[in-house]
Amino acid sequence: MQVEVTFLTRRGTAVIRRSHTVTAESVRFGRGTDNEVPLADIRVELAAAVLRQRPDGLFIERLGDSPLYVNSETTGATLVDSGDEILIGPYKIIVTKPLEGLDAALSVELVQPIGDSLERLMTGNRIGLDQTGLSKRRVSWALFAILTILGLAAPIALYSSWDSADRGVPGVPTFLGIAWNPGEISNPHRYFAQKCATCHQGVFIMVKDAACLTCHGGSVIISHLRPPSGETSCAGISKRRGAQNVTRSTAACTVW
Amino acid sequence: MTVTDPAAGLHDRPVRHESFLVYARFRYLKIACAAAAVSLLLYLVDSPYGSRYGGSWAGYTLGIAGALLILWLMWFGYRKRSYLKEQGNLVAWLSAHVYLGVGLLVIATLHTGFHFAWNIHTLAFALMCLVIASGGFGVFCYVRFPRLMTENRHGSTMSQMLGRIASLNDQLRTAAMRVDDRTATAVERAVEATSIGGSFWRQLSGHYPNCATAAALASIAETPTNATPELAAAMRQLRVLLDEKGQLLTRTRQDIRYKAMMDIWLYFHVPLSFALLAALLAHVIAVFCLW
Repeated sequence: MQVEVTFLTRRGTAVIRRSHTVTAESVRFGRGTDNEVPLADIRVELAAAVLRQRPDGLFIERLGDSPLYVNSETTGATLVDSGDEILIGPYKIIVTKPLEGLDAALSVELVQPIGDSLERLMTGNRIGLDQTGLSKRRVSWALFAILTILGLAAPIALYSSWDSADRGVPGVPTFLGIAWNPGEISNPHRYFAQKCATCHQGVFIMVKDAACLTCHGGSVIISHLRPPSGETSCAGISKRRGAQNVTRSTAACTVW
Repeated sequence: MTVTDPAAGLHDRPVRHESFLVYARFRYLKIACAAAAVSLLLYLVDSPYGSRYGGSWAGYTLGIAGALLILWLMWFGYRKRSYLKEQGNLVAWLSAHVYLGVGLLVIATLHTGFHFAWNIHTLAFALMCLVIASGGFGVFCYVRFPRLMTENRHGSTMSQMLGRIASLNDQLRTAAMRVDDRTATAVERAVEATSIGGSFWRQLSGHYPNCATAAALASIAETPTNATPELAAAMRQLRVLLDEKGQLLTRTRQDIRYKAMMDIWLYFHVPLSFALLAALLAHVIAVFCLW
C-alpha cells in the first residue's frame, strides 16, 4: 500500500508541513525507528499500532499495551476512513482523502508536547512550605479572632447581661469564672464568689471600701494584717485587738 | 583641596558578618539580664497584702513592662519587612528581639506571682511561653541549618540543582527511546513523577518512599542476557543518568527539608503571637473591668 504521511509542526500561528510517501505492506506507528511512521516520543511504545489495507477499507490495530483511540473511543482494532481521528499517545493522526494513486493519506501532529522540563518540574512540585496552602496569616487571624470572641467578646456580653445570668441561667457563671476568674478567692468571700457585683460595683472602677463595709460592719475601718512571724493563726491579733472580729484568709488576717 | 581617608568610613559599617547572637558583644543579652535582675528586685521588694501577685504596685509595673515589651517584640514582624535606614540595623533588632524575648519570660513570670489557674490570664501566660519556646527553636534552626545547607549543596544553588534535574530528565527521555517498552515506561515514570517537595509533612520529613527514580533504577539494575550491544549501552547510560538523578534528588530533598525546618517554627511563632495579643488584650480588659 502507498500512504502519504504529512507531519505538522506548529510555530505560533504558522504550520509547517513535511510530507513523504510510504510504500509498504502495512504502516506501523511507534517510537522505534524501524516503524514506517516513527513517533519520536518516549510516551509512545516502540510499536504502538499498525494500519493495513483490507478489501473492506483501511484497518488500524493496536500492537502494544497503550490505548489506541479512534474518534475519542478506545479500541483494539477498527476500520477507519477519511476524517477519522486517531490518537496514539501524544500524537493525533487524521485520516485524510488521498491523492489519486495512493491508498491513504495521514496527517500526524504532536498535540501534547512534553514542554520545558524545568518549567514542568517547577509547576509539578510544591517547593517550600508556603506552597502547601498553609498560611501563617490566615491561621494568625483565625486564632486572634477565636480568642477575642471567647476571651473577650463572650465574657463582656455575658457580663453585660449578668443580672439575668445571676437569676439562674446555668453555665453562665461557670463560663465567666473560667474565662475571667482572676484566681482563688479567700474562704470567707467564696460563698458569693459568682456574684461579682457584690464587690465590683461598676466596670473599670476599683473596688471601694464602701463595698466591703456593706458586710463588714458600717464605719469600722478594715485592716488586713499578716500574722506575726511564728504565728500560724490570727488568734494573737484578735487577742491584742480586744473584741474585734478577725478572720483568716489565704495569707492574712482581716480585722473589723 | 581636602583629602579624605578612605578607611575613615569603614568604622561605621561591619567589616564581616556578625551573628545576631553576639551582636555588639552581647549588648542585648546584657540589657535583658539587667531587665530580669531589676524585675526580680521589684518582685522581692514588694510585700503586698497576701501573697505576691500581679495586682500589687510591683505586679502592675511588671505587667505594664511585659505588655509593652510584647507589643514591641511583635513590632519586629513589621520592622523586618521595612528597609528604611533610620529604623536601625536589622541585626540589632533581631538580637534585641531574641534576648528581650527571653527576658520577657522572667518579667511575665514574676508578674504572675506564680498564680496559675484555668483562665484567660494563665492562657495569655501559656501562649507567651509557647511563643518564646517556638522562637527559641527558630534560633536553634538559624544556627544549625544554614551550615548544613551549605555542606549539602556542594556549592550549587537550588535553581542550579533543579536545572540539572530537568536536564537529566531530558537526557533520560532521549536515552530511553532506544530501549524496550517496559524500561521506557519505568524511565518515563521516573521523569514524569519526579517528586520534590510536596506536602507539609513530606517537606519536613524529607522521606519519599515511592520515589519513581529509585524504582526505575532498581528495575533496570541488570541488563537482560540476550540484550544487543546497542541495548546494553543504552541501559548502561540510563543507569548512570538515573543514579546521578537519584543522588541529586536526595540532595535537593534534603535542602528542601532544611529550608522547611527553618520555616516551620514561624508557622507556630507568628499565629501564637497573634493569639497571645488577643489573650493579652482580654487579660488586661478582664483585670481592669473587675478591678
